[in-house]
Amino acid sequence: MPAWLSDRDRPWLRDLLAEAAAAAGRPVAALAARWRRSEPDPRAGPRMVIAQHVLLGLLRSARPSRGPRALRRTLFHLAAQGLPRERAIAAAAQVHGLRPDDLLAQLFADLPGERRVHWPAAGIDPSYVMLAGNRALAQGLLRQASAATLRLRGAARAVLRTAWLHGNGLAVVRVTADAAELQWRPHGPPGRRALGAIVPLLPWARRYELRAQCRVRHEAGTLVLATGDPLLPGPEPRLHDSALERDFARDFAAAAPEWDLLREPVPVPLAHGLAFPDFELRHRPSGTRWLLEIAGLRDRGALPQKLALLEHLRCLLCLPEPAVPPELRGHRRVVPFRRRVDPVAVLEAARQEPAGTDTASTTNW
Amino acid sequence: MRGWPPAMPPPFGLTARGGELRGQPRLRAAVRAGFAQAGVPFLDALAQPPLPAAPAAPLLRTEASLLANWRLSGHRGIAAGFPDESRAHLAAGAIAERAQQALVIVPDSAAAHRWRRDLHGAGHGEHARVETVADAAQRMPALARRHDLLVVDCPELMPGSPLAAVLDGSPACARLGCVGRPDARGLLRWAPGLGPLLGALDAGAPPRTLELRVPLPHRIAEAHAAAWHTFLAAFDRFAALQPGAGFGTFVQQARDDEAQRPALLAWHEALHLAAWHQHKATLVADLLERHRGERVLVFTPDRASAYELARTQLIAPLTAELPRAERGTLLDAFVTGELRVLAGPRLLDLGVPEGLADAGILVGGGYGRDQRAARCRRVSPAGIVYELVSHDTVEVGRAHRWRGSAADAVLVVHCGGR
Repeated sequence: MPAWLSDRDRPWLRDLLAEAAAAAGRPVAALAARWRRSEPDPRAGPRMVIAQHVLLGLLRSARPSRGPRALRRTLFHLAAQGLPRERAIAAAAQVHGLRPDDLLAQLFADLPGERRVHWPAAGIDPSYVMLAGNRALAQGLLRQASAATLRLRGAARAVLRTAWLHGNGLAVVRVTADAAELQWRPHGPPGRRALGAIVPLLPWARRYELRAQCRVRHEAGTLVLATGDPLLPGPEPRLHDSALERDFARDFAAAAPEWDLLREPVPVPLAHGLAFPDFELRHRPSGTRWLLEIAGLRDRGALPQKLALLEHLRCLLCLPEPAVPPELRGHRRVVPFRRRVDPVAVLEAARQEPAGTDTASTTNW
Repeated sequence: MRGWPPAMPPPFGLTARGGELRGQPRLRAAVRAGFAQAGVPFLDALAQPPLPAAPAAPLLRTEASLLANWRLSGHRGIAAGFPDESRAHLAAGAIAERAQQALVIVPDSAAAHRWRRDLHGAGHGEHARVETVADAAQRMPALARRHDLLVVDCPELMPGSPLAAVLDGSPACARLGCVGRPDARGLLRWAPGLGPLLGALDAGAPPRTLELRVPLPHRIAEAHAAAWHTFLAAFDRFAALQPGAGFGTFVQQARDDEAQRPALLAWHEALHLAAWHQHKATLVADLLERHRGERVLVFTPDRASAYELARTQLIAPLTAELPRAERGTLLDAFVTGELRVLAGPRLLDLGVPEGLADAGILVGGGYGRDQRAARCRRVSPAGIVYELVSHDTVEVGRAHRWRGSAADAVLVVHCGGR
């Protein structure tokens, strides 16, 4: 378990932020060099480097203006035409409506190494630096991982999509009613970076537990990240893929107060690959659970893959009425709909036959 | 690979497991050869459809002869010492002969820009994809299915790990490498991935080299001496304890040893202080004044010095930080003569056509003999290369080592007062 940044770090974080604020207008690289050379703060220990790394990244990420590019083009072409230095600077400054000194100061202001510190008017909250520092710490440790296991419930598609887009070797090894279990093996440095890329998404999952075998210098251990760890969540994933799903979630919450709705709970392994049902419906008193897929079928060719979900006994399938095949009309787990999915029809289908029961009390998931 | 006949021994480097062959994609040619030798029909799912008839560019005799050798060696091999223009001709000739999509791997984005321009000029702009080695190494699984001819330019300037990822990860059967000089160790290293040496051209006389030894400014000299002392104290201890070990071993140990790490940092500090200081800046200004109106390339030790020169001398810097489009515009402007001077640490090494500059100024820093040779090739044989080294520092010996010979002239230059 890493030594997370927390409220005990506020005193030295406040000083660090004040130092960064005082550097406003100066090059970010100069601030970084100053921090590199400064005496270590005894209150911070090695956590200081993490906070500085996060803060510098934040200051560098400010969107640069495109102005300096035009300044450079004008100035260097005027100088190449043989104008003496002072006259070239004066002429370029006049073209862009600047003072000569400002022109030289802004000449490379858009480049990462020369970017200036723009301190936000509202300041930077130390809590944000703590959470971002914790995330950077976790990602840094995961770069040293040699194997990892992830148990995940909720946000499954977002996590797996990100992992696969980054090309890491995260593979689904087991899916239970409670969670999906995924395993990871490294494929070189890009794979290790890719494992770190899923960290910002983990806080969006209902529950997760990531166990990674890490080796840092000469020490080996298991890094455990779990639900509730103080990690900064990444950008919010889209809550619903379509207006159909959004409307159903709203209507269902109003019509079925005894049921919980969880988005993209676990992947379902099928013959053609993995499927990600849109929701899990959970009846709180009885623990009954159903997976629900709402198929808008903008692409009619996707129908066979959607129907394959019926192989899964706990899955309900909502299909547009005209798209329901004749042999499936009256199927107990197929819910036809016209413009909106009727939550009452879904509830009726869910009450028709028993499904898997909740095991959360025993597994704590 | 599926369906390998159990009776046939697997090609070297591949392992057979119940009719399935496993190995690196680069061994695809060996698998094909194995099937062909045994007369077994096979389906190659990676084979690309042939390109429509591609134009065959006129070749020089040396280029045609090298391509003939390439054909004889099974479309694999390395050309050494060929100038940049000839390399593009060789690649175009190889594309025309094989009628296959090519993947051209180059060390950096400036070289990629030049290759795209040259291949477009040869009528093969659409038949080749040019990638830097770092990008290609990361995206090899996606790129592998889109080419059947691999061209690698300047492998001597590429870091070993991404280059190996490209050479091993590419399934291309036809491969052509272009290196600066036929170095035996390098050729042995690249032979499994690229093939044998097919031919070498004598690069001709290099431009005249003038070594200018610049004393360090007083305060810099003191700091340099202190840093050097810190390094030597630790290195002497290391050398006494491990007489057979070299500097590389020292660096490896010092990285992980907190007691030795300050010595390693001091070594970098000493190099940094010697690479760029006020006296070198003054001398560069004098040299630029002397060559006013001529095409001059200033190879700086880092980007900070390039920006400093840009601000003081108003010469355009070319660094990796600049947006890609701006870099391309600057390189094109230098080729057309719109800009006469460029300064930068790395991208000028290969981004400018060979022999285009009238003068080159090697300010300091650098990464070895091959990089230095690549820089000097940008200067025309009738031109001049100024090599600025800080007097009484490690730069003097290093310049001699990388040059491989004495300079045509050595001068000690005193710039201003102390």
